[in-house]
Parts: sequence; structure tokens; C-alpha cells
Amino acid sequence: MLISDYLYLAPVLSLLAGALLILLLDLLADREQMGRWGWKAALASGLLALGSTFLLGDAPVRVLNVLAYDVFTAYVWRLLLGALVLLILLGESYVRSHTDEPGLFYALLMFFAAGALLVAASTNTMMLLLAVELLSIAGTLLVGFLHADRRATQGAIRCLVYGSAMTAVMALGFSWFYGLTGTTDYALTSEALSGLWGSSPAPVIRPIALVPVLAFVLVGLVVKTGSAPFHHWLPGASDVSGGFVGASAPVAASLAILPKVAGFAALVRLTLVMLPEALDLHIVWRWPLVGILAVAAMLWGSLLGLRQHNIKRLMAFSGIAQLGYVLIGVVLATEAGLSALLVALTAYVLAEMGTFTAIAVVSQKMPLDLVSDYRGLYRRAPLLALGLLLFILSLFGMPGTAGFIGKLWLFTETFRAGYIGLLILAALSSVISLGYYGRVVRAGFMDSDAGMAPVPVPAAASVVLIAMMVGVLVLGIFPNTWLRWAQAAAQVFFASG
Amino acid sequence: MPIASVPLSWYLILGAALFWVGLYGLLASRALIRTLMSIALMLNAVVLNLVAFARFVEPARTAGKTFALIVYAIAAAQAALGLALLIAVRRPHSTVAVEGTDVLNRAPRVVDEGKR
Repeated sequence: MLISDYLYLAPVLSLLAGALLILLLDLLADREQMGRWGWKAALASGLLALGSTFLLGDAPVRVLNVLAYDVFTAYVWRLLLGALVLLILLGESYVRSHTDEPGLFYALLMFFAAGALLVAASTNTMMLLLAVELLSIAGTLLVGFLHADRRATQGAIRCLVYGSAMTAVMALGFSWFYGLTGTTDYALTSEALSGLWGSSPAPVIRPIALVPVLAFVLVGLVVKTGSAPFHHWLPGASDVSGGFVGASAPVAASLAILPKVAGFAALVRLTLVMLPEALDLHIVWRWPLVGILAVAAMLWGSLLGLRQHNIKRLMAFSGIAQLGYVLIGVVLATEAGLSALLVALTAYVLAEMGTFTAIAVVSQKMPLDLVSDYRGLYRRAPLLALGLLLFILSLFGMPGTAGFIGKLWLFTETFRAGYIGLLILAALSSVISLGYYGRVVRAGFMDSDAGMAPVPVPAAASVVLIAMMVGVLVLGIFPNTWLRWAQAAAQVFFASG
Repeated sequence: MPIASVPLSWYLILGAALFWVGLYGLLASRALIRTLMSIALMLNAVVLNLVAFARFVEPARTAGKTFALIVYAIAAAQAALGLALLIAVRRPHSTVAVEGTDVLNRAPRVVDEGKR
């Protein structure tokens, strides 16, 4: 039984084995050999992990009593691992030109991804806390990776201080849940909570007294995984880790994608498995708590995005707004709402991956990352400009792209569930975001390229770019298989109950 | 008063007080070391909560105590990371030999120019 449990951990284990192997090789091989073989080893273990998720089957399994493997986990894991493989490809040119410790970078990236996988699958508050910590320690080290650059170190310190404080906040919330129920397992917590207030002599504590505890858990999780407005540090970190060397867009991209996807999966599990639906607690959690976060993220992201001149910061704020829309899926907490959440999240990953690839390529040439550096990009690098246009259209939600399907479905479900105010705010935020998306597109396609040098596109980057463009278009035009898969993933939480 | 008769609420009040002191320290101080100590205080509040709950809610089982150990492990990892970053910040100023020699080489030259 234990052996078969480890079988389901194969993706995580192959990442960890890959990371350790790379660290070991780093000791034995010299720098040049590491530069040549490090990324291949990382890519191999990433692909192995991705491949192994296809061999595990779809039946729901409890792994070691603290993780759940089911269609939902499989969906999220494949999304995460697919992103990891592309990040390794993207990181290759960056690592070769900007650091003398290539092995360390890949090892950290893989610990980071292993943490993300565990966060997405955990069904126990203890496991969640540990996994989030693995994720955030590896993330902090990635931000501070260029420790010769003082700004990178300062970014890492900021990550560490905010992150550790949030660990304490989240752990305090979990300790109260444990105290009330005597268990750390989501499903058992849910049973115990229903029993607590279901019994006839009602206990002294009213459910409403748990609202601060819920808020602690929510704030902790959301800040740790960087998916909502509190994370002031994230635009800062993606900027700071850029530093003067500029091309650390791979780090910014991994911070923008992996922890957020994992955090959403954890949030969905907490909402649907741990907080019993019959309880007032479930309703308070969805609205106002998560709802307010969604509104704040949407408005804050789009309004502050308007003022940015640095494209990395601009995309960081745009990402915050995007994740505000995705949070609506948690507020709805219906089967259709959850499928829409997965679809929107996938579209976000595709577009964000593509955008950061384009930014990475341009910032090799112009490390300041100003929007004005993109003037006349369609003449200087047609593939980049076309890709950037497509990804921005997808983020905005233009018909024919993956982003449209996600947004349309989310907004339809919001309307159906009767959250009209939320829908109006989301639409408003979408319109505001047109302001800064428009600026990038105008710079790329309408402004003249006078005085600007052409931008060469490395082979690895163009592979990632083309793959993401094809992905955005194919999922936007023929979404059926994809939607069915997302529905199957969402059904996991509703089939039995 | 014997330990056994201390009620659960006292532990929880102490835990909450520790937590808020830690949070205040985190928000009020600029020095990294003091920030790290404040965070350790917050985590200790969590551990106190967990151990008290473990003692009063389910004395026969071990989930709460395990959780407390895990929180300690996390606190240790964070402290190690914090100290490593602290060294990374300090290092460029104190020990990088190339910079040091550069400054030393330049200083006499300025003096020489002044003399001429």
C-alpha cells in the first residue's frame, strides 16, 4: 500500500531526484560542463515528471493520507509541469549568460516546482504548511539568486520577511482549526465542524467567531502564493530580480506562474473540502472574504497598472487583475464555476508564459524594460511583436483566443449565480486594463522604430513563443476537449456530495 | 498553582499576546535581525497554541505535537535563510578583496596628485 502511494508521488519524486542529481553533478563537474549538461538534466527530469502524470490513471487516490491524487490534481500538475518544462527552456540562455552557478539555478527551480505540486495536492493543513514553505523558500532563493547584485538580495529579503510573517499568520489560523476539531485533515475537519454546531446543545463559540481565523488562513495562503493584492512585493520582486542584468524574466515568469496556479488549487480544496457547505462559515468564506479579495485584486491591478512605464511591473499588475477574475471562480464554488476557474487559469498561464518569453528576449537587448523600448517592434522582431499582440489580446479576452473562453465562461457563471455587482466590477476592470494593454500594442505596432536596433530571437525562446501562440489559438478556436477535461476535473469535488 | 489546573484559555491568551507582540515588532522595526526575531516570536505563539490544544483537545493522539515540531522545523529553515541573506548583503562591503585593493591603490594616488 505504501509502495503504491509512492507511485503516485512519482512526478514530485522525479523532480526532487533531478534537483539532487544536479546538485551532486555541480560538485563533480566544472562550470562549463554544467552549463552544457545542467539544463538537459533538468529538462529530462521535468519531462519525466510530466510523462509520469499520464501513466497514473484517473481514479481518485489518497496518497500517504495527506495528499489527494484525482483528475483535478492531474489537471493542475500537468499545467504546472508543462510550465516548468518551458521555464527550463527559457532559463537556458539566461543562465548561460548571467550566472556562474548554472546547476544551482535549475536545482532551485525544481525544488520550487516540487513545492508547487505538493501545495496543489495537499489535503492536510500540516502538509499544506510544509509544502507552502518549500515553495516559498525556493522562491526566495530564486529571487536572490544573483547575489552579486544587491537589489536581488534586497528583493529576497523582502520575500523572506513578508513570507515568514505570513507563514506565522497562516499557521495560527490552522492551529485554531486544529484546536476546534482535533484533526488536521480537511475532510475530518469538515465533519468535526458540522458536528460541532450541528449538535443540539449549541457550543459557546458561534461560527461567526471563526471569521478572523478564516481571514488569517486566507490572507496567509494568498500572500504566500502571491495571488492577490497584498503582495506588494511581487511587482517589486519581479522588477528587483531583474536588477541591472535585465534578463531575469525567467525568474519573474516562474514567480508569476507556478505559485499562483498551486495556490488556486489549494484554495479550491480548502473551500470545497474543508469548509462544510451547510455551515454559515462556507458562505462567509466565499463572500465577503474571498469576494473582497477578488474585487480588490481586479481594481487594484488594473488601476495601478495604468501608471507603470516598466513593462515587467505592468505585466505584474495585469497578472494581479487577471487573478482577481480567477478568484471569482472560488466565490462561485459551483461545479461550472470551478471548471471556468480552471479554464481561465490555463489561459492565464499560456498568455503569461508567452509574454514573459517576449520580455526576456527584448530585455537581453534593452535591460531597462521600458514600454518605450517596444517602439516599432513589429519591424524589429515580427515574431515577438505578433506573439505579444496575441497574448495581450488573450489576456484582454478577444474572441478566438483562449482568454476569451475563460473570461466568457467565468462571467456567464457569475451572472447565473446572481453576483451582478461582482460582474459589473469585473467588466469595469477589464475596460480599464485596455488602457495599459493598448499602450503596449500601440508602442509595438504604431510607433515608428526610428533609432531602434532589431532584436534577435534565440531558438529556445522562439520555440516557447510559437508553442504558446499555437496553444492560445487552438484552445481559443477548438476548445471542446479542453473544456470537457476541465469539467471532469471540477466534478471531483461534486460527484460524491 | 499546579500546572495541571491552568485552564486552556490562559495558554491561548498568552499565545495571542505573543503573536501580537511579534507582529508589532515586525511592523515597527527596520533592522533585519530584529525582524527575524519578531517572526520567531509569532511562530512560537503558534507552537504554544498547538501544544496547548494538543494537551486539552486530544491528549491521547499526536497530531498537535507533530504539527508543533513541523512549525519548529519551518522556523529553523527561515532563520537559516535569513542569516544566509544577511551574509549575502554584508559580503560585498566587507570581504571582497578586489574592491578593497582597488580602494587602497587609489587612495595614495589622490594624495600624490595633491602634493604635485
